[in-house]
Amino acid sequence: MMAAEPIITVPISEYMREVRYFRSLRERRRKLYREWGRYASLWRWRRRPEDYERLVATIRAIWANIREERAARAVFRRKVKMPYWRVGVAYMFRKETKVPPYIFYAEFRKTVYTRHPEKYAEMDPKTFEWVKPKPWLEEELREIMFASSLLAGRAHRHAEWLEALRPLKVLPFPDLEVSAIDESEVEAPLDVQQYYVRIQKSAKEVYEYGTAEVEGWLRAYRGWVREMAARGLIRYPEAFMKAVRQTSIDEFMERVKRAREIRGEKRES
Amino acid sequence: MRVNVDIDSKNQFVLLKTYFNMARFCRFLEVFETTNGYHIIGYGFPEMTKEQFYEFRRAMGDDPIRVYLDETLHGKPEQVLFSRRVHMEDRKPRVRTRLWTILWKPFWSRLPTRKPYIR
Repeated sequence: MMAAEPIITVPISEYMREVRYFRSLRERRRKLYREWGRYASLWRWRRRPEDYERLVATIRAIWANIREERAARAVFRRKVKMPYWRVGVAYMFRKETKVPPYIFYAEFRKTVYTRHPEKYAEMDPKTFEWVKPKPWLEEELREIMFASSLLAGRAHRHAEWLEALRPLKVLPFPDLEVSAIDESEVEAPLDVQQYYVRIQKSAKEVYEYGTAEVEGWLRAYRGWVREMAARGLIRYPEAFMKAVRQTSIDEFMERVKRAREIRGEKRES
Repeated sequence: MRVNVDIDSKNQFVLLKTYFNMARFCRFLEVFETTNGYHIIGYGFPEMTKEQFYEFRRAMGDDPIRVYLDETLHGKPEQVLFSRRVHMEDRKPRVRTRLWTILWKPFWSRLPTRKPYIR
C-alpha cells in the first residue's frame, strides 16, 4: 500500500462487519418509515389512543436509529485515516462556456497542505462535510485583491476590479476545497499557505502569479499602510487592515456606487 | 495514486458506469452528489504517466474542460473538487452530500413506464 492512501487501521473483516451493520440500520429505518405512515393513517382515521402511542413510539425509534447510526459512523471514521489534506479557497471571476476554454477574468486562490484540515475549515457534524472555511482563511484573499489593485495605482483601491467586474453584474463568493490527497500531490511544506493569482485578459493573454510574487504584493501593501500611518493619513493602521479583510466585494461595490452618486450630485450642483 | 472524476450530469447510468469502471482499478472510492452531477474520488490507483492519467480521466467521463485546464495550467493544484460551491448566478452556497454507498438511493429509469399512446 502507498503511504498516503486512506489507511484502514482495522482488519478488513471488522471493516466489512461495520459496513453490514450500517446496512442493517438502514433496512430497519426503512421499515420504521413504513410503520410511521401506517400508524399516522390509523390515528388520523380511527382516532384511537393506542394508534397515537404507536405512532409516537415509531417516530422516537426512527430518531434513536438515526442517532445510533451517527454514533457508529463517528467511530467508523476514526478507523480510516487520511494522512494528507489540501484545503483551498478561491475567488473565481468567470463565465462558464460549453466548450473549453472557460472565460476567466481573474482567479485568486489560496492552498494549504496539512495533516489537520480542522485548523482551516469547519465540518458539519451531522453530514461530516466540510461546509465553510475559517473566516481568516478567506479574508486574506480580499487583502490580496486589495493589494493587487493598490499596486495598480488607482485612486479608489478596488477600482481596477470594479471596472473589470461591472459587465459581470454578479460577483463570486469564495469556493472551498477540502480533500484528502496523496503524498505525491503535496507540492509545498505542510501548513504553509500557497497563493496563486491568474488574470486573463483574453484567451491568449494570461498572467499567472505564484506564492513569492503574491507575498511581495502583501508586503508592499503592509508597507504602504505603515507609510500612510506615519504620514498621518491613516489613523488606525490595524483597524484599516481589518476593514480591508472584512469588507466583501459587494460592500466595496456599494461604497463605490455611493461615492459616485455623491460625486455626481456635487458636480451637478 | 488518486483520481477524481467530476460528472456533470445526473444520469445515474453514467454514475454507475464510472463507479464500477473505477472500482476495477482502485481500492477505495468515495461518491458525492452535487447540485447537477456527482463527484467520484478513487484512491490507490497504480502509478501512471501524466498522459495516461489525463487520458484515463477522459475515459472515465470526467468533465473535459476540467481535464483541459489541469493539462494547460501548471501553477495551481490539479484535480480540484470543491466541497462548497457558490454559483455566480444565484450566489447560493451549495454543499455536496456524501453517498455512503453507491446503492444509497434506488435507481430508476427516466423513461416512461409505458408508452403514452397505449390505453
